[in-house]
Amino acid sequence: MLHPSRTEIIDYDRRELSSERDALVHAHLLECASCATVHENETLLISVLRTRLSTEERELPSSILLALRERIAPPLAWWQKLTQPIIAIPVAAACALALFFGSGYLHSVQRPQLDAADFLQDHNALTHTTPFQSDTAVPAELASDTSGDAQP
Amino acid sequence: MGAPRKPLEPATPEQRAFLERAIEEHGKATYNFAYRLTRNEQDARDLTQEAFIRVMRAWHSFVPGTSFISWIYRIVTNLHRDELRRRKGRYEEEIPEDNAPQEFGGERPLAEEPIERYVEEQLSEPVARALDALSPDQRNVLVLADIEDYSYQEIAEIVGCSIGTVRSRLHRARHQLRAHVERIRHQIESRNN
Repeated sequence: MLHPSRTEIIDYDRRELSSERDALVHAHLLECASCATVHENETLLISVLRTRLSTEERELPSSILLALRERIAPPLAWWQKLTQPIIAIPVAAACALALFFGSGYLHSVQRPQLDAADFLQDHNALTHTTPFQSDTAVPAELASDTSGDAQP
Repeated sequence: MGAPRKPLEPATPEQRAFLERAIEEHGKATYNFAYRLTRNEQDARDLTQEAFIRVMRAWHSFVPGTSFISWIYRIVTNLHRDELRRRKGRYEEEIPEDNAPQEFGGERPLAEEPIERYVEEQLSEPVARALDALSPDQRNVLVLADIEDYSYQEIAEIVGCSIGTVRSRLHRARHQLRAHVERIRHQIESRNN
């Protein structure tokens, strides 16, 4: 039998030959040291390649799964969109500004005013009272103020 | 790959469930296959992602009883080819040289020295470099044939070409690997002598 070509040896190794040729090449490789060496070297080359690629084997990056889930996610409802950072952050900032400036405005509007009438009333009540006299009746306006400081 | 992401129609719950299962079962194998084709992590990620989107969209076209992973590999291969076309503008597919049935070599035996064990250990890096240097088509066929162990018929179906073309690409890929390894081997041996 003639020596098989290298391509045929590769096909033999891959079991891609017809059964007749496969048997011929198989018998030849048992007898011919040169062709057997070619066969061994081809096998070795692929073995080195497999070993090398197995060291490069890696896990599926989780980023792929996350990106895929994001791409196929169902559309958000309007209220869900409000929770998205692109909307939520400006809205939160606007609310914070409104609170800051709005509370100052409200504060200025509702600030308690000093009522001059209160002072006049107090003054008027005091002028009708003689100080340090126990039988002097305490005017009703001052009764509540002096109840805590009652004389023994 | 860097291609802009196309907006997708929302997936149905069925499609989402199918995708999750496909990723769980074949995600790692697909990613590693994509990496072997592209030899680049970012490209492998993009390719894997795009492939699973296609898988999800076309899940009705999958024929039950056929190999699911082969179907995914076909999608990955086609996407990779499209991407190469997009990058180069024009993608030149290799023309097979030897589609004819293989003949016996002849009377003269193939003169070749056996690769020594100590040399084998130093071949890992050169083989990886030689793999990088192959054309995408050759690398695709080599990976499918010698790493994934597909038959020529199966590879032809995955790649979408004739069995003769598969055989031709594989033999040329092996030839280039061998040539590269031979060079390195001689360098190693001459250094040691």
